[in-house]
Order: sequence, then structure tokens, then C-alpha cells
Amino acid sequence: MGTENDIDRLFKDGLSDPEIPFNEGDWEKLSHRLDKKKSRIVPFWMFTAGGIAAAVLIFLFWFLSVPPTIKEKGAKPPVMANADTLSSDREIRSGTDITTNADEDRSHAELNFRKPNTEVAQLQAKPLQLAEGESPALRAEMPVLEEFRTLRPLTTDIPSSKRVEVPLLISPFATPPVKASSRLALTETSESDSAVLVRKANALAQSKDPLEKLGRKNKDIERDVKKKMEGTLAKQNSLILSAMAAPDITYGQSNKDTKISSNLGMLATYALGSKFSVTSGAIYAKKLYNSGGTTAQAAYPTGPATEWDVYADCRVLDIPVNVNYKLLNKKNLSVSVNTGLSSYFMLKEKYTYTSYQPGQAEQVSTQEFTNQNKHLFGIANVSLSFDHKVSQSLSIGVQPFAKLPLTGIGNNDVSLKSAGVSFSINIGLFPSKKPGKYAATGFARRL
Amino acid sequence: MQGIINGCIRKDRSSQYLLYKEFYSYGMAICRRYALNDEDAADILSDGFMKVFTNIEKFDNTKPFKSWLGRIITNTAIDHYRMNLKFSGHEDVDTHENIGHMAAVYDQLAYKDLLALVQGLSPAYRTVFNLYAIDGYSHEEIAELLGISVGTSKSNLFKARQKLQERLVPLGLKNQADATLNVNNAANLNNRTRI
Repeated sequence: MGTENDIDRLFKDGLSDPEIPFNEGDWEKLSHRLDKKKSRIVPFWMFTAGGIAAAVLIFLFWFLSVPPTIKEKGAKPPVMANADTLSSDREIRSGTDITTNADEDRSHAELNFRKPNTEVAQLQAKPLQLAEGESPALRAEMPVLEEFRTLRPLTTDIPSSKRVEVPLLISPFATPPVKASSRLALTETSESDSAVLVRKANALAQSKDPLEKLGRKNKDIERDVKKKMEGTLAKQNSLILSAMAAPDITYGQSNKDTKISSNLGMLATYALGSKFSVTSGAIYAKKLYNSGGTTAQAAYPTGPATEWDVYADCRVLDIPVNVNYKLLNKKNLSVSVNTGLSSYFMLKEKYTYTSYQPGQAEQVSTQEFTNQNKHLFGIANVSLSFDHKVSQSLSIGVQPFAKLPLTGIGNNDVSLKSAGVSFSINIGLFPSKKPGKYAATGFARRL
Repeated sequence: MQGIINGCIRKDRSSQYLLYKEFYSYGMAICRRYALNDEDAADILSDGFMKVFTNIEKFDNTKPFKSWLGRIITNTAIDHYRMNLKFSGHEDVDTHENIGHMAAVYDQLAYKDLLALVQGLSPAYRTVFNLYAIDGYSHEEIAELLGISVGTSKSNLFKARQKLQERLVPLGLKNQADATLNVNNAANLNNRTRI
């Protein structure tokens, strides 16, 4: 055995398995760390849930803020659907369906001013084509459209307010109006090109809006889109995520001292209709309370006491399931009454008992329980919530509430009551929209 | 023991207390060898038991619990070594120059002297010496654990032994190596060496 091995052996034998006295202080420190670790679990979970909720919110805001796209893949602008245009022309000619709705006029007038050149450019750029099977008579009208095309820039440049003043051109060749539905009859009418041209011009001047017929086509599409949008949005019930914080006062059978307890939570509210909604989530509560008495308690570990009190420090996970009914729903304020049940999961209970016996020094003892008690639907919730809408998707709420026990809570089956005020920030994941308006606007934006 | 372990799996505090108390001496002995002082050793032990309690459900109960716990505490000590590496100099023996004096004061020559000598090594030498000479790791394992080369591990071990030898001579312990060995062996036979 060499010197080096001797040294190794010397230290190995000398340092192996000594008896080191147990240090209670080291355990206290470790115990404290274990407590801290446990208390960190819920906030970490809440932060994680909050982060996920925020990510979902951002995504949904982004997703919902993009207007619905109407697939125009391969679709021609309405004006290019020449067969329909011709049909519309027939309606103009018949004079039976020129709408004068002020809103439509205004919107179309805007459209005319926004995009006249675009429309004309489209007309000029793309050759008109007749669909398969169109009658020769319709094909015969093609030259008329060619002339119509040349007129449009003039009319579209006229402000809508002045268009009504354009006098009708009188043509001696004008024929009586023909029913638009009489397609066959239309094809049988014989007009000179100049007569048609004059009539077209009159119709244009009278209608104020040469694209009105396009609007009619658009209206059909709008109606379809509106129906689809309404159908789609009707399935998207509102979902509201809330972050809440609530101080409360919790007290047992006989409250001796008042301490403020605190609650922090994330809740989700799902609308079942215009009036009803359900709310659930998770609330981490630090409940501080005390109670006292003058009779001996079976739960009191140090024996009978003539006078006693207990201070409790409990960490509770509160899982509520509430039903909400909207009493009032004004523009920026809504008032709801809420009721439901909560389940309490007692994460940690720490009770400090103090007893006073005549002629003796007071005795203090503590009891701790970890994850020992849970009370499924053991608490009734009653609250009234006032929500002020900040924006379409954001609101702030104030909610006075009371929590009443249906069963004994905690290790000592205390009748634990809480009352407080909750403050919340609520974010709607599916902001309520007026689907029809939305669809129409979205569609119009694309014209 | 299995009942205590099961209680620890359930996070029962009283079971954790019993386990901690049962293995306190064993764990602290490991920590002291790797630490610079008792305060650091207590920190390592606390961290080690935190790992034990949070991972106890992973313990394979077909194997000895003591070995599993010892391995966790040793790894925790190595983690501390890694964390403190940038703050540590290579030579910390100056703080332990009065080893002989301390030993004389406390009159606990065997364990205290040897512990002070090991704690007087620089962290790099101390860690390699502990791992190789006392805990039985190979140079390859040490190299992997500490992120150093096998050559560095061997070099550190050699220098650690050299330092210890140098410090044993003035204490007169080197000459008494055989005697100390005998004393320690006898002490081990008679239960444990008391501090």
C-alpha cells in the first residue's frame, strides 16, 4: 500500500459515518422551505393559467379583428357578370325596381366616388363575355353595353347630389317599359341602338347610381354572407375570462377578532343566452379567522378548557360553480345576481389553540394539516355583480359576495362564513357583434 | 422505513421529519466533506433533502434507500460546487491554517482534524478527492460529473493528496497515520466516532 493510498484510507475511515447530533434548527429551516414550496404551487399554477389565457386572448383578438373574407377565388366582380348585368339593365329599362333607399344611395354614392376608375378599368380591361346558352338577343345587346361603358365615367364623376337634376332624355324611339321578368319578351323587342342608348342614359340619370344594379347583385351576396355570418356567430357563445381579487372577512362560530382574508382567482363565464350564464374557475384563498368559547372542545388537543380560542390560518382552493342572471343590461353597465356552490379544498390548515384555565397559565398548542380536508359543494355562494364595460371586450366588475357553509369546514367542522367584495377585470373572448351589420360592412369594405 | 417513505410520498410532514432525523447524521457527514464549513454543509443538506422530498416517489424501493439518499446529497454537493466555482479561489487553505490549534481546542482530533483538512482544500481539489478517495467514483465518472477532463481529475487528486500530506506532517498526524487508522477502526467498531 503506497503513501497515497494510506492518505485515502486515513480520510475515508476517519470521515465515514460520524455521529452528528441532530439539529432541530436545521429541520425548522427545511420545514419552512417545504411550506414555502407548497405555497408557491398555486400562484405558479395561476400564473401559468394566466399566461395561457393571455396567449389565447391575444390570438382570439387577432383572429376576430380580421374581417371575414369572402372568397372571390375565380369570382368576377358583379359588373363583369354580363348576363346578370344585362338582366339588371332590363330592370332599369322596365323601371320597376329602381330602389331609392337613402342609405343604399349614400353607400353606393360613396362607392362610386371611391372606385369609379377601378370599375371602369375593369370594364375596359376585361372583354364582356356571354354565358353559355344566352339568347342571341342578349348577345345583340353587347354593343349597347359598349356604349354604356363609355358613358359610365361621366356619370360616376357626377356628385350624387347633382345627379338627380340631370334631365331625362326623351327619345321618340323609346318603347314602353317591359317587365323584367319577361325575358322572352325582352329578347323579342326590337330597338335601334340609338334608342337603347338614350334609354340607358335616362335610366342611369334617373337611378342616380349606375352601379345600383351591381348593388342589387351585391345585396344578394350580402344576404347570403349575412346568413352565414349569423349562423356562424350564433354558435359562438360569449366566453369571458376574469381575473379577480377579493378581500373578505371570514368568521367561524364565535368571532373574537377580525382579520382580512384574501382571495385571488381566475374565472371563466360562459353565456348560455342573453340573460343566463355560468361561471367557474379557481380561487386561491388565504382565510384567517378565529373563534372562541367557554366550553371544552373535543377537538381541542390539550384537554378541557374553561375558556379557549383558536386562530386559524387556512389556505384554501375554492372552486365555484355559479349561475348568473342578468338583471340589467345597459350600454356600459350590467347588473347580475349570481348564486351557486363552491367546493373547498383545504390545502393547509394551521390552528393555534389557546386555553385559559382559572389559576393556570394559558396553554398554547398548534395543529397543522396539509391536504387533509375537502368539502365538495359545501359552500353556497350569493353575490351581486356590477360590470362596467370599458370596451367591446373589456369590462371591470365589482361584486359584493357572501359565502355560506352548508357543511362544517376544515378539520374542526367550523361553520365558516365569508363576506367581502370582489374586484375583477373581465375580458370577452368572443365579443358580441351584430352579425348582419358586421357581415354587410365587411362585404362592402371589399367592393 | 417503508411506512415513513410512503408518508413522505403523501407529503406528510411528520413522516418527513422522521426521515430527516433518521438520515441527518449520514447526510450531514457527506455535506461537511464537500462544503467549506458547517454553514455551507447545512445549506447543502437542506437542498439535498428538498430534492429527496420532492422526488421521493421516484425512489425504487427494491434498492437501499440510504444509497439513493447519499447519491442525491452528493449530487447536490456537486451542484453547489459548480454554482460556487466562479466565486471560489483555487486555494482556500489559508482560512484553515490553525487546524492544529482548532483540533487542540475541541479535542476531537480524529474526525474534526480530518474534516478540517479536507475543508481546507480548494473546492476543485476537495471535490475530486471526496469523489475519488471517499465516495469511490472513478476518474471517468468524476470527469463527467464535473465537466473536466480525466487528466484534470487525476491531477487534482494528486495535488489534493499532496496538500493533505503537507498539512498532516506539521500536525504530526502523518506519522500517526497508522495509529489514527487503528483508532478510527476501533471507533467504528465501537459504534461511531463522537464529535
